Amino acid sequence: MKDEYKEKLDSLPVDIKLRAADRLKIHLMRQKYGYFSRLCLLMALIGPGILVMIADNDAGGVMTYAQTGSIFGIGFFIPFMIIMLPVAYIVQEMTVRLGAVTHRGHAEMIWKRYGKFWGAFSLIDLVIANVLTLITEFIGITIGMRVFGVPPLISSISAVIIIASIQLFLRYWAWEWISLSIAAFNLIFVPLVFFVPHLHWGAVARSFGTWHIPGGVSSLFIYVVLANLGTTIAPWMLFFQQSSVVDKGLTVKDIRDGQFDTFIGSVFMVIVAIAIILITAGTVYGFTKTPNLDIQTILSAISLKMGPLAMRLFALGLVEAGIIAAIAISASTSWAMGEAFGWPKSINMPPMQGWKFYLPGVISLLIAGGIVLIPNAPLGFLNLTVQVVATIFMPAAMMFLLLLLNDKEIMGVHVNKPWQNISAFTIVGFLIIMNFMYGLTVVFPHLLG
Amino acid sequence: MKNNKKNTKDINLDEDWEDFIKEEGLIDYNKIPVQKAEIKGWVQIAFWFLRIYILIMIVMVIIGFSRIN
Repeated sequence: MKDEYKEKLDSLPVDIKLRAADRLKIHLMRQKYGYFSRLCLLMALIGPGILVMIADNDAGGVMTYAQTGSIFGIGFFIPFMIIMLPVAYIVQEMTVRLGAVTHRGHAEMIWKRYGKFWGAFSLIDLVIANVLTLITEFIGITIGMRVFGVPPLISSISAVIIIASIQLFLRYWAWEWISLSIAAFNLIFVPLVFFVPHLHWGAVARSFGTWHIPGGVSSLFIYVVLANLGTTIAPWMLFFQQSSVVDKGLTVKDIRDGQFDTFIGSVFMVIVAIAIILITAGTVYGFTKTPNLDIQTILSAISLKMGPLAMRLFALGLVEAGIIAAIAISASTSWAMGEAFGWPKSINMPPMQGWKFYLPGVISLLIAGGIVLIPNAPLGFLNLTVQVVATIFMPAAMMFLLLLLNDKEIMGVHVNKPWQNISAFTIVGFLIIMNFMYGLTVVFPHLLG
Repeated sequence: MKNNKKNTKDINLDEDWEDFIKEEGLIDYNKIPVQKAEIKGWVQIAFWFLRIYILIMIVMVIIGFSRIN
């Protein structure tokens, strides 16, 4: 960068200097025309969308998809995952517009627009759900690393150090690219599909034509649908992407690129989810009918049917999924706390200057990393609690998102279009109905047989 | 690439700087005030729906967890 630019940047307050330097590169790129320049601009603007979607395929998500394929095969859930692509895109795209227009995170918008009660409600729910979700990430990391002979103590401590260091010592641009590089390993599940024995692509194609619920609607089926929906759209994702868009400095000019970023991320997310379902449907489905299949059983079945190398690669994918999600979730906790309490809130802040901002994320990592090491910790109960908190919180978080996106006073011309409202309300409605149905099956266990 | 060079504008940052700062909203970034929304009409209905939903879900969760224990 030319010296004159540097001098001008130095004249800015220190907290916005780094963001301004990144944005200046975008500004200069925007002045150029041609396909190559446009591609460079797009590459510079993508990040939050891909990151949130890949991080969404977290360790809990990998376990959920693996259990889905193992229990139900491909019949219902391959077409279901294709439907999840527009669902994830429609929900997350709204955060791009909201962040780019308001230059504020989701927590801050709820707090300032709807008052302290709902602000505190959202923040407390988010922080609890994030800490519990982080525990599931560390469960995935320790289980995955055990396959390579690494004891949980070492893998948990190493993961805390690596993830905290990425957040503390990298500034936004580097943080995003390192995170995206880690996220690329999520695709490790895709080539494994081609080594699944006796996988008939014709049967996969036919599942779209003969789409049906295997065995009819049961409480297990509703639970698995909710679990898949819960891994596709989660409260932390709304907060993460909006804060990430704000910290990156996207403006209304960048909305189209942000939308493309989110779409690409959704495609990757669905491809990986389908790959995991296909792997486990091909190796474990029919092997056992127990609904409480744990990940060790699934790994053993993969090793038996596809060989130890495939099992190790699957375990590596599980570790990666845990790490990338832990990076995103701890960042979302830090951003939300900073936004709610008005602290300086940017990954561009040096650790000493932004210690208040980094502290909640680091503490949540330490809690999660510590809990998985407690002998006989009720990890299954914690996993259930994660889903319960997220289930209650998601419609609330979606409602705030929809209220904000329909608020002309703050969104102006970027307010939701009718088709976006219809799609989003349909998603919320489906989520609420499924939540109630699942709640009813818990209260009345014999309701659906 | 040839096409890129031909179509590149000359950038004079001295002239462009103010526009850049203004367009990006860098100085006032995150400082534009947001006022508390007036809760009325369908928004009020949505908030009541949310309260009832949360209450029902909490009751279901309590029943569910008590059965586990």
